[in-house]
Amino acid sequence: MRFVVQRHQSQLLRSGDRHRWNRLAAWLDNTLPNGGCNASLNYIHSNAFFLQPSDTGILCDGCDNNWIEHASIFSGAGTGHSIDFTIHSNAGLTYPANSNHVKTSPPATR
Amino acid sequence: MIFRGQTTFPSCMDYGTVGLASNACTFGIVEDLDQGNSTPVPVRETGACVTYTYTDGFSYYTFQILPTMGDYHGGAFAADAQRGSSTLPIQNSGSDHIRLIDQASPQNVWGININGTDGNLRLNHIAGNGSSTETSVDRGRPHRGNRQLSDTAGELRNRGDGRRQ
Repeated sequence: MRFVVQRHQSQLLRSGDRHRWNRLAAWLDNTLPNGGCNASLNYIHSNAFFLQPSDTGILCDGCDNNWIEHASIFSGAGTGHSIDFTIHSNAGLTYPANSNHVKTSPPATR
Repeated sequence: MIFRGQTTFPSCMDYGTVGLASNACTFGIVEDLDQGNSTPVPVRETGACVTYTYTDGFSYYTFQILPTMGDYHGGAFAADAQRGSSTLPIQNSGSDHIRLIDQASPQNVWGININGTDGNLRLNHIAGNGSSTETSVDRGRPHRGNRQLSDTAGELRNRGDGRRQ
């Protein structure tokens, strides 16, 4: 398994995380009045996420402009999603996970 | 995959309204989804936006701004020159610009096109059944030509045979 992550702002994905939630884009600093959620411009190549039932593969919490390629992502027998492009909310503001690109080959499921 | 929007975050704003701005719902791109293996389609919550393609190239939820369509390069380019303020110039060199096709058996097919010989705008029946109808007339909204008749009271009605009462 080849796994490459290019760090630009932040990344919390590691190959050893594949069995549990991976949070790509945690913007957790409540002191910032505004600003984008981070973990942007990461590149994830040829990774496989084998998950526990009902787990979500990647929680993309307000992350932007990430590229996930050749991702074989599935969540076992669970009902969780392979990637959750969720919105980060802070102080009444929402920061969407925008312009993320997933290219799935071999196919992603769930 | 799930792209979160107002179902989960009611305060996020519709992506179609504010684009990539903060407080918008999420937007993303998925490429080469497999048709087999029970692959589910991405979940697209209200307000969010995701465009995706399958491995056979079929695309879903694609958005095109100011496209041009034609049946050969030069024709499409010439059509673009006639765009004006329209959204979609459509050129065809065989008087067969647009076809509307339903799911009936046999299929009903109608064309909307310009006759390349005389320049007339045509609504022509190509296959199947059916007639050109004006259901709006039945609702008191009559078809109006260049020489409009007064119909403020809505008393003009189509007789059903193409003539007015």
